[in-house]
Amino acid sequence: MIEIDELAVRFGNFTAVDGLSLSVRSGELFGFLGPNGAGKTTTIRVLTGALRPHGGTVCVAGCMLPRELGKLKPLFGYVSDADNHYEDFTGRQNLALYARLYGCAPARVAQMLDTLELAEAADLKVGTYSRGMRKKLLIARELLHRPRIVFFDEPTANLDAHSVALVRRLLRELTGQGVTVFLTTHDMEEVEQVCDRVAIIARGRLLDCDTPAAFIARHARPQVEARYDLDGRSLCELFDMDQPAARDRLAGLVRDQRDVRLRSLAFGFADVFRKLTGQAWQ
Amino acid sequence: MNAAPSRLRRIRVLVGKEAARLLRNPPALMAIGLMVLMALLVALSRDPPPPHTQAELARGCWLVYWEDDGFVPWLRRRGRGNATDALPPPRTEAGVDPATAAAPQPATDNGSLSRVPVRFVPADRLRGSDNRLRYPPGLGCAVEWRLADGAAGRGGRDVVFRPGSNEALLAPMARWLLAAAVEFYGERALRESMHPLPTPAAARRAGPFAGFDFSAARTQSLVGAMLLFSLQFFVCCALFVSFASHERERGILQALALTAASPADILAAKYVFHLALSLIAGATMVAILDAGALARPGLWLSLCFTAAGLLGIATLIVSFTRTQTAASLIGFCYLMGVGMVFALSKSFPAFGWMRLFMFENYSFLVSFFMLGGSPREAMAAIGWGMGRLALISLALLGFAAWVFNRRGWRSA
Repeated sequence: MIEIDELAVRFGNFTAVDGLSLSVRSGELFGFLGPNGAGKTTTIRVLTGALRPHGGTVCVAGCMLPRELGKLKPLFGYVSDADNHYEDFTGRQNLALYARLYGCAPARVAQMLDTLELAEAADLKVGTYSRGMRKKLLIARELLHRPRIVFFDEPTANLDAHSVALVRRLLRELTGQGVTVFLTTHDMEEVEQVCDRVAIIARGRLLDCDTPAAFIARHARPQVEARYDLDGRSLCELFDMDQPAARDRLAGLVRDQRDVRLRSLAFGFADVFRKLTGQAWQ
Repeated sequence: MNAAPSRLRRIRVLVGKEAARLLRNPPALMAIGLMVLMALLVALSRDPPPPHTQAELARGCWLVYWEDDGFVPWLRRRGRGNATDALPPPRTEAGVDPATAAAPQPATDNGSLSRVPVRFVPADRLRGSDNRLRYPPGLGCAVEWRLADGAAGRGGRDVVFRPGSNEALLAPMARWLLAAAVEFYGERALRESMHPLPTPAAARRAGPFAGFDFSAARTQSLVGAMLLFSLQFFVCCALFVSFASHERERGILQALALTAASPADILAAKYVFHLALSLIAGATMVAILDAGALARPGLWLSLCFTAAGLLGIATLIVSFTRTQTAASLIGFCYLMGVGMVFALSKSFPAFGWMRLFMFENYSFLVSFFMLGGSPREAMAAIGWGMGRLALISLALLGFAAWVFNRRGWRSA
């Protein structure tokens, strides 16, 4: 559904995306991760035709970009990281405007308001909405025309726990209907829960691409936390179980000390992310 | 997925959106209303319109003289000799010399005004206790003929055209009176001793405006043209920049451009809306200032081309600025820049050259003559001004649209 080959985007002397190659399958929920400034939003802007690449080729839903953007536009939705509604219009009026531009039936507006649990606030001006409500309105707007691909840029930011669950359920429903979802988020729990495959980029380059489980299996570093008292002082040590020396030291500690409290530290996707993107693991 | 609506439908939806945004923006509506109100105040401040009916015209044009140095009796005799039977007989009126003579027939531009009698009236008959002249209401045309202040004994004379007099009558009267004065006093004497006329002939310009009337009698046209340009600037530039730059800063333009609507659709809708609003508001203003001007196609063309130029400027401002604040600042700088070029062009030739390439220059002058000029002046203004106005405005608009299509809709 999405084919990116050697994509390059530069802003003056700064290279935002540097030879990125990716392939996203149809109906897949694809996580696109990276630290701040890694080039995620820039890549999405290229994929949505809002930015012209300086190199490489991009093909979305069989349309070569940016040449065939006009053909692609009705096929995708883009939930950006910032809301971009008309504040003086009500939620319903905002959706109605886009529905008319897409040629959707008016009933579709009410349906999406219901789906995103915005029906009660539909006739209030968007200026009075909370940030979470604006985000949900944005999601509703971008799903109005039943797109085949949806780009989500941090869809659950600023949402309460209930709305987060709602959006995650919606994401799964979309993929269940065969819609391809291209998701960027900083919520690693979300990635583990919903993504079929994940790509991690840093400084515009692809670091790795696989399923979340495979990532964890490949990059997990089992660690054990040991707390004990020594000479009247309370100490805490971390032992990397992949290291033979650390294993031996932990065995010695357990043998020598009467009271050692051990705790196995779970290794989640966030740790993989931090490891791969060069962040210090705490 | 749904079938994308046609381009016309998309543009209609977007025009509706622009209208809805305006209706939710009371300050913008108030600003437009305020400018129209100013035009109304200007219109109310002017003298009552001159009479045009034959009955009123039968009262004729008065030549009010202060001193009799032989010219007036000579003129009267000459007039009697030239009088025709078709002229209405002289009537006795309050303050009018019963011996008034039917005058020579000043030819007018307007056939309906072609047989206007001239009545010679001594100023003493009209002078009130405060020494000021009192004209009867409804008098269409009056000329004072008097010795210039401090010029007694030196032959200096003033011709004073009563403010508010019917210009259509005054123009031929002026020609007739001057021709007679030259004949009586001699051309040399006239040139040396007559004061410049405070009416059309005194305010003529050289260059492309030679022969055009810039006299004080045109103040209303001048103010009208200024108000009209201000209104168009507000609707087509300030309002456009405010709306579009807000949309660009918030990413709304980009969101709209990624729907089935293209950047060209978005821009077309904005142009249609602002042009229509500008024409409606402009026509309202013109109807208040000079309803007759609405019948001139040149006025509508000038409104359209001015709007096109201003929309081009506004589009460029939006395309080259990322935020609403920056766009508003540039818009203000543009207005200031145009004002400076206009002000400095009189003294510095370089600015004069710059002015030749500015559509605002032609827009203002064309509007001026469309609002208050004679049909001849309006036609001449169309001849030299409209072409340049159209050329510059449309070129600017085309370039601006191209820039917008390439970058103007994209967010930072």
